[in-house]
Amino acid sequence: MSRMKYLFQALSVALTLCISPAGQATETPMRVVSLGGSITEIVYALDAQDLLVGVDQSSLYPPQAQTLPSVGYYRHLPSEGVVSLKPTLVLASANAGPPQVIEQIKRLGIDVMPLSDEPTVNSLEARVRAIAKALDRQAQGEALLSQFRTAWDLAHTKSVPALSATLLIMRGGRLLAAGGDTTAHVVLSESGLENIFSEQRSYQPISAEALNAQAPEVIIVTTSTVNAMGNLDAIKTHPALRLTPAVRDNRIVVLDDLLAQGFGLRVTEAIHTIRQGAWGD
Amino acid sequence: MSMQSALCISDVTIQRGGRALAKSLSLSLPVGEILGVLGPNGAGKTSLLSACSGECSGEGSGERSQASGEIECTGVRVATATAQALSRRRAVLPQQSTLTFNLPIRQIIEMGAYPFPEIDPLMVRRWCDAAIAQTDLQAHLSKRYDALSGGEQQRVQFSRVLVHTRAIAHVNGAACLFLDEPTSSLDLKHQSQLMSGLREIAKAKLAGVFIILHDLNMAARWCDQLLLLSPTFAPVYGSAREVLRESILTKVYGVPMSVVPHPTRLNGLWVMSDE
Amino acid sequence: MINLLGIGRLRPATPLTTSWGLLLLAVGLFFAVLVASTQGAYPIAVADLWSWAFGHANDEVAQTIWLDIRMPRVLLGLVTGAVLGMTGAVMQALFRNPLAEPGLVGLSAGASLGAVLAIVLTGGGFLWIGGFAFLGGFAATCLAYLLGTRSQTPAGLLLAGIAINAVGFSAMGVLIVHANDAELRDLTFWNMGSLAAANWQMLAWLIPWSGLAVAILWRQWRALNALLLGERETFHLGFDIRRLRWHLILLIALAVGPTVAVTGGIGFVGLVLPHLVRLWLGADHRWVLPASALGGALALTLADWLSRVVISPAELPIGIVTSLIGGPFFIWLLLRGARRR
Repeated sequence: MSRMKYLFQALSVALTLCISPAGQATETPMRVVSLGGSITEIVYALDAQDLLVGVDQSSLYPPQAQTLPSVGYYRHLPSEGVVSLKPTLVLASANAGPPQVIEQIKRLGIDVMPLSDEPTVNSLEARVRAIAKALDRQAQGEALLSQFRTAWDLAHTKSVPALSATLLIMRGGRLLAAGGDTTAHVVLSESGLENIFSEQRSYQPISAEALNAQAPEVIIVTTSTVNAMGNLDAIKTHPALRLTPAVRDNRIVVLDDLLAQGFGLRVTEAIHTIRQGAWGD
Repeated sequence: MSMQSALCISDVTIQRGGRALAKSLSLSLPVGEILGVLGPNGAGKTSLLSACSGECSGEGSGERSQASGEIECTGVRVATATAQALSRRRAVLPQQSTLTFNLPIRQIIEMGAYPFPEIDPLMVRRWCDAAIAQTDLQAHLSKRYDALSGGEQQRVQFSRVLVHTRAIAHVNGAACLFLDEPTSSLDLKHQSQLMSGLREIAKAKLAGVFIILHDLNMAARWCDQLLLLSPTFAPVYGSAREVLRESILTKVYGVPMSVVPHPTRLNGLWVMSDE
Repeated sequence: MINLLGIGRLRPATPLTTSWGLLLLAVGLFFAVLVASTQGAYPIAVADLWSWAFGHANDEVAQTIWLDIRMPRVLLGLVTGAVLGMTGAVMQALFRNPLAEPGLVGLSAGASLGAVLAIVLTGGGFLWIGGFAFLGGFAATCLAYLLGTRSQTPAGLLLAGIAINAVGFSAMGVLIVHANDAELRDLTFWNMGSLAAANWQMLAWLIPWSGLAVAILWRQWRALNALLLGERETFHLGFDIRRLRWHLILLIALAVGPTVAVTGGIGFVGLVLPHLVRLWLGADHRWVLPASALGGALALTLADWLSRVVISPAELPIGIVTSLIGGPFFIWLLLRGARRR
């Protein structure tokens, strides 16, 4: 009789361990708020979107993310707004703020995980790993990273002659070029191109003279810029761009806005598109 | 507190734009008398009023006029007195009012007591009612200020100055009251109402009155002393008989003037131009 | 100056009307505070407040939110609204111009320039932005003082303010060219105003400071009424006009500067509230000043409540709410005044 009892006890313990593999009770479901476009993208890539209860204004990919409640601009968060979503975990870009709001959220007992948000591969890897760990999706995380690594290495195996380039967006009715401190610059450089405006900060209105003096061989534009100008021909006939080698040799690359200005899991897509347009491979 | 003189000027010279008007002027205005200041335009009448009421040292003088000499208003040296001290000794009715916001008329009149926040508001209210009665404003009390005619607005300002004068007299015994052509926009009835109101104040020893007038006959009728200023000739100061002389007037005004005994008023004078 | 809006009542306001008016505003303010403190992104019921008052802590998080996040904000809105309302009324009397507000002397340009400098040079952070903004506003006011003393009339001061505004905004333009995207966003948000920086430590000095400034300004009601008569008459009634003017301006800078430093740019409250108050209660500053303070507090409390619930859980910058409501309202006032002429 006692042996049956012992067996039954062992069985129930084993069953409990199976149900909660981490060894802790998980009755309270996780409620996650994601602050940062790249972070939201990673959550979806890890197939953990069911845990999300809120995102920020810059979480535009995938499009389903835009149906979730948004707390606004991630650098100017409303404390009450974030807390009202009753999150158990806040995945925050390192640039999220203001700092006192982050402090307030922490003080209310909510876990805030700061995540590195730099446009570098190391930062991306750290980000994916940290999110995967927090959401208990380590296996999927590693799979994503190895996928990314493969694509990344592939994009960098073929050495190509460096071409000069510029990335243009349209804002406020004017064409602006990406400077050396923008994420677009990183995307451009990783693709093997040389940004002719790398000395410049942020996005500045293009100087037709400077542009033609530097004579970019590749021009990258965002989809919304093409739409704003009408069509691709408008770019080719633009007075400042018309005489550039890029237009002459028809090396104009159109990139999705999010791809052009972000460094997330899909940056390899962006690099691939750029290389196709620049070197035709 | 008995005050001998409301205004005491000695050796005062008014300078305007480098030119000297009213050189070495001396006069004494006792409480209970009315001083009429006469003269053609540009003679320095308003500058003199500004100097005596203390405005030269502060804001408000149109062109930059300078006054040198001793000016004492109800015993206080004007050049060194603060705005607050002056406001508790003298009241001024300027030629034009520049009120742009619509305040209730009663409130405008009661503002005359602002230099004396310590006075009981009920007393101020009584003075206000008396002034309204005196200037015939009962019918207009509920109107908007900017809906009044120029003359009615002038009467409102005059009422305010009356309240101011009474407040000063209540606290300090007697005031010096300055008026700059107060009758210009008033009709005949209200003109004589205003002047007789001033005469009453003077008679009650509440104030000495310094009034700039254009109308020589009004000056002759109501003023005890006269001061005739001229841009080119020396000032003439004295009683009506002494100042209103044909030779003097013709010289100063540049047109032939006649002075005759008043047809109906005993001992009165009547001035007319012969043009 | 032109009497733009036909300011004033059709019948003079009686003491009864003004007392009732103030009481009504006070009651309205009480209800606004009630609404603002119980409505927000996080659900808190009035019943909860009641039970907390008796010491029953049922929801820790809700209580902390109410005490540490929501109440300081509501109080900041109250204080800022009161300061903006009253200083707006004072400025309009000071300049005898219905369109006057602290921005006219270059105060907001100076504060904004300070904020931009802080964002671009130090990378932001509330203390830097706030401190620089206050110094900028104060420096602008002193500069306006020095420039304006050369002239005898308020026009000189207004011209100095215009010059300072021009210089301030072009300097900002130069700095903005060298700012990166994040800094630009920060500046935009600062210009639109927000009460989110409220906390008890800040309120501990802001409330007494503002209260003192408001009390001192209220005592000037006689001088402000006299100013309405005209500058000469103000002098005749015993107020040294030059000293009065500068005292008032410094008082306004000292009152508004800290609030602008904390909240950023919030417009229209100082402009529209005094007009409404004058239309309702008449132009006597004895009532216009406290009513503008109460009205400003009421307006800003409600505006903040709206900014918190309209796109919840996100928030609208409060300057947007005041402009969206205040702007068209002001146009309506202008049209109404023009029609009456």
